[in-house]
Amino acid sequence: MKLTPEQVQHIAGLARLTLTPQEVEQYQTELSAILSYVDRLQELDTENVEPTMHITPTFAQLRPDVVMQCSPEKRAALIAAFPAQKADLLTVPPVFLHYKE
Amino acid sequence: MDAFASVTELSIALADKKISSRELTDLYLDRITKIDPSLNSHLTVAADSARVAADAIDARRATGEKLHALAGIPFGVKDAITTAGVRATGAAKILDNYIPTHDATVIARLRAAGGVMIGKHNCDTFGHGASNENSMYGPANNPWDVSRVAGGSSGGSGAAVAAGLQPYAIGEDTGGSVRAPAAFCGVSGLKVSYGRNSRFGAMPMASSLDTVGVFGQTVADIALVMQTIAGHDPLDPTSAVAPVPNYTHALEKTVQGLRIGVPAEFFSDDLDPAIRASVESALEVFQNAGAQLIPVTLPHIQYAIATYYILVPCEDSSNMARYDGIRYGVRASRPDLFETYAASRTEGLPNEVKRRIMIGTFALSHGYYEAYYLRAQKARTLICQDFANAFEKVDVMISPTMPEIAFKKGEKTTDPLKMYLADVFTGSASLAGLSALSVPCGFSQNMPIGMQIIAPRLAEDIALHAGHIYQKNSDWHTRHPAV
Repeated sequence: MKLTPEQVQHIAGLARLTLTPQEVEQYQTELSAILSYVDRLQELDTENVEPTMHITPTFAQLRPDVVMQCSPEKRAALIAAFPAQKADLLTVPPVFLHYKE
Repeated sequence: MDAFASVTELSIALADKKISSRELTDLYLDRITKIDPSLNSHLTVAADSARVAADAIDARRATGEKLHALAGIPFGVKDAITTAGVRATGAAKILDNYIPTHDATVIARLRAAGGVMIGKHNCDTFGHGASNENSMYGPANNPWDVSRVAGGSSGGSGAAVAAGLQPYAIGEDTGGSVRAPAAFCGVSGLKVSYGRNSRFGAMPMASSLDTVGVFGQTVADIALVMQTIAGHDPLDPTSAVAPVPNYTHALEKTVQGLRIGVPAEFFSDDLDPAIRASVESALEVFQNAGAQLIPVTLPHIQYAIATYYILVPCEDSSNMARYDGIRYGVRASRPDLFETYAASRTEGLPNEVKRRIMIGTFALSHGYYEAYYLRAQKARTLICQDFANAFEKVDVMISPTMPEIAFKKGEKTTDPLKMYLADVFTGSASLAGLSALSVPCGFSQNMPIGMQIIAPRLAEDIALHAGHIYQKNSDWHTRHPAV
């Protein structure tokens, strides 16, 4: 499977990555080589084979949905870890940049 | 005190008050200061908090309190595992400033036992790699030859234990990330079966394969650490609700009747002759000790790497979506939201992570899901069945851990596919969620060789038992690099 430069750009956009023209060329070569290698799975007869979604016989032992306490120190540390903040609030760039009332 | 002493020896020395935890902690901290500039195995050294923890243990011991076997003994942790109050970057610049507010469950259990966490280990960013060269903080170097890789992704952990900077370490293994560095650096390393140890606090890469494992000087040391960290955790819904065996007792079982499977596919004609010779001599050691060798076959194993490198990037691409510069870590601020995401990710993630994100994004995109992800999940079923069939006849299977000795830095970085093929022996056991232990079994060109012992899911006790038998009958694990 050989990817086109347009496909590489499209995938990068979906994955929220920005590529330079040189990177597009580099990833085009590398991703195409990897996809060609994994293409060998097409040889396998998987007609009557069930997919393995997860390896454990019993999936997801869910715990009771109860609120757990968060100490004031932990709360403060979580807020301190925000990349940008105003008072106790996380600030983010505008989602609708050109929105006007 | 010998920096290469086993955990058992350190435990006795501490209990007998031959050394204090503070002295032991300072001993390892001094070694990090002296030796680590040449290894780059640590991204953060938690000297202050380690000394506080060590003093607290010494104070408790002074009152005559009976303490846990691991109390007062220092350890290190792969940086992709969270440690409350100590920086955890996962070797990614996007988390360069990230201080977790919580301990991973395995770390919480070790701290509750009195363990002293002294350092965070270099690794391939979020576990993406087999050589530690995908760290955004430079590669960890191999203590046997610093021009060679330490292995990956938990390379810093393998290098640190091999160089006597800590007696044991906690790593993470998705497709070989504990076993590869253990083999390349000449220490013992256990990849637990999926679900045996809690993944809570381990930065995820491929959620259906990720496991948290242990590096040690000896298999017996790993058994001691496993006893403390293994078992169900309500914070990890995929952790197994299953009893934890007594690992130390398991070590002392008789070897008589142990059935060792030798998979033909793992000893093909193109296997490196020195590695073949070492692993074959190890098989003889088992045979002479009373074990039985049985040929087995794993017909679909040739598809393991292709299966692995579809499933992992797919799960990976969705896991990596959390790194967006919004809620934590480093944000590259731009006027627009899309630009902020893209700039934060583009600057904060290394090439290998981007490659896998893009492969996964492509393979999961409309029109390709069935050809890639679904087909790989079906191939995974066939690989699991191969192992299940073989385990009807044998207790463990043995292979080389890696197809080669630690390679020179830079040798494979230009060809990502070549790097992926290094996972040929380790990746298949991961796909099937099995236990797998790497133990040193020889040298080639003065570099260590590792042997992989694969046991069924949740049968770490059997893998450890076999590894311990080997270490009672060999001395490769007692050799240390001149650092």
